[in-house]
Amino acid sequence: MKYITRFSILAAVSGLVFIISLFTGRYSLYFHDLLSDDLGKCILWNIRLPRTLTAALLGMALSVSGATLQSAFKNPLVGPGIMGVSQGAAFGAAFAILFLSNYPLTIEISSIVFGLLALFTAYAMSSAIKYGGIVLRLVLAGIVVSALFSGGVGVMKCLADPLKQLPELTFWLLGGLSGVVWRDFLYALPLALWGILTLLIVRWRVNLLTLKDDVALSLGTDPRKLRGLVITAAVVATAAVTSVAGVIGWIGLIVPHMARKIFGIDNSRVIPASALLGATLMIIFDDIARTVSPSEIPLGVVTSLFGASLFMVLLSRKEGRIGG
Amino acid sequence: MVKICVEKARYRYPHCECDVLKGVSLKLPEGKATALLGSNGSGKTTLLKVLLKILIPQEGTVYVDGEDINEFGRDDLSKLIAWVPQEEAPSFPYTVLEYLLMGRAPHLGFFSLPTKKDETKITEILSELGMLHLSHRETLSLSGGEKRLVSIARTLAQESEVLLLDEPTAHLDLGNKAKVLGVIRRMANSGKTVLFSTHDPNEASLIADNVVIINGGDIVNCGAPSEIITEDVLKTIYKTGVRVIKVDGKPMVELDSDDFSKSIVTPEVT
Repeated sequence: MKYITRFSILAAVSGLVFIISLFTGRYSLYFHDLLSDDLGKCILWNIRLPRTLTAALLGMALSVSGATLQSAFKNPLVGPGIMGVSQGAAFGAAFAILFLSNYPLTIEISSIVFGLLALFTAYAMSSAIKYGGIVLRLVLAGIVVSALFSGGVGVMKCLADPLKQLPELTFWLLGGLSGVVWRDFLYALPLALWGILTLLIVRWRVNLLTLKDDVALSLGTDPRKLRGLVITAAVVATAAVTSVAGVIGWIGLIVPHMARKIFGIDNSRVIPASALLGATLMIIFDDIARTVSPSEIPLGVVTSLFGASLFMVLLSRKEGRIGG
Repeated sequence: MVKICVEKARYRYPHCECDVLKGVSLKLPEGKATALLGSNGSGKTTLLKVLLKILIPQEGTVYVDGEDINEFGRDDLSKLIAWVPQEEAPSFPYTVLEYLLMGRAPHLGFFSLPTKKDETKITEILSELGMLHLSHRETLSLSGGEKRLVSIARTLAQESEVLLLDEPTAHLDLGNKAKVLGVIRRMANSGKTVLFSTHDPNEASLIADNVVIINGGDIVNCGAPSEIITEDVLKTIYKTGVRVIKVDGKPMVELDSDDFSKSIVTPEVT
């Protein structure tokens, strides 16, 4: 089947899932009743539409970032958390909940600031490491920064008021889209969209980062500059959606692998396919999180369960192979 | 006409105490194949990287078409000089076609994607090299010889005037060696300026118009293969006895069996 046909099918499925998601939830909504059902219209416009759009944006940002970072680090096992960004953003949110205010905008700004701080710390630390290539140094620095912020989050948990702050903090750390409204979506949209669009625009050139850096240089592309650009775009997109949805794991790792199974290795196809596939899966996972039990399951828990299971299936397939 | 000229290039790696290149001067004539011979660690790869502006020498200058290499932007230089490194395995299993399209990068805008025209160009190159059947094979599944030919094909996609190859026949069997050497010679015949490093004087003798010998970070000999590939020169470089015999008028080298026997030391049984 031609790639364009596969893209068309995926786009149609994404559209269908999006529409079905708008009509899925505790309050039964029917398309033909919409004109007469004022409460239904209100729920659709004020709750389901922003939530489904945020889920799509979240899935897109994490998957596109994951696909790009796997190429930028020449390692198919990395995800958006590789530079300590997720833990940095988590620390930022925890810090805001405890010491600033639990107003959503404050939490979002704090998590973006600390997510970016994690990135710059990892960069600075990587240049201080005296051995190994740039990729190894960045990965090592990312592990250290991640551990530092993870420890910081632990301290915040200990300091949190167990009745008021800890439940909010815990739910945020597990990730979820409950309570997301237009305002949250619009806060995350500009930065997430900038990151996603940047990565979509340079998607073919990202292939050059999977070559040896010297070869990329001989092909007229400075890999340090290109890597800097795509890592920044991926981190900004990740931090922006993390600030709204909390820490959501596995999507950024698993979706690019699924996209490669269907669309091949070339990033000019993998990155847009990851965007569509990530958005679709995240909408489905969010539908599961809010409908399968009487109380909402944190989205991060659902993505971990499904993501890890899917990853096991991919690894155990006979022709399965990491990266291809 | 001189295509590339190196003047007194000195290069030292960071944190190293001695120079790898000690004031190298070299001229590469246009449209000729030049072999760079030298022992391990003599500075061959470093010199190639200096010619590519991947490494910037602490002293000295490289000129391409009479212009200082530092005047060229990375884009312009990649249209002039292409490179086949010793090892070139991509981290992901691209198809040969996808991989060769990366060779078109110097001719594409930063935000552009390869077009049908670029794909046609790649198909022509593969067809010319008799490798069209490999176009949808994964690069990671190719044999050593096929991988090397695909790397050379990538440089053809680059459409550069100069080609630098770092030990292009290393680890290849005789058949694949012959194929790769044949392609290199054809490229020189088509007007490209070629510089390839090798450990095998016979390869230099077979296909090179000129031979440059680098030893201890300095150029010690330079000239036609028949002048340079001599027993005295090779013995000085490789520190072992060799015999040079003429085959079809070309110098061919073999290890001196008498000298070799002396180097076999039988351990004493205690």
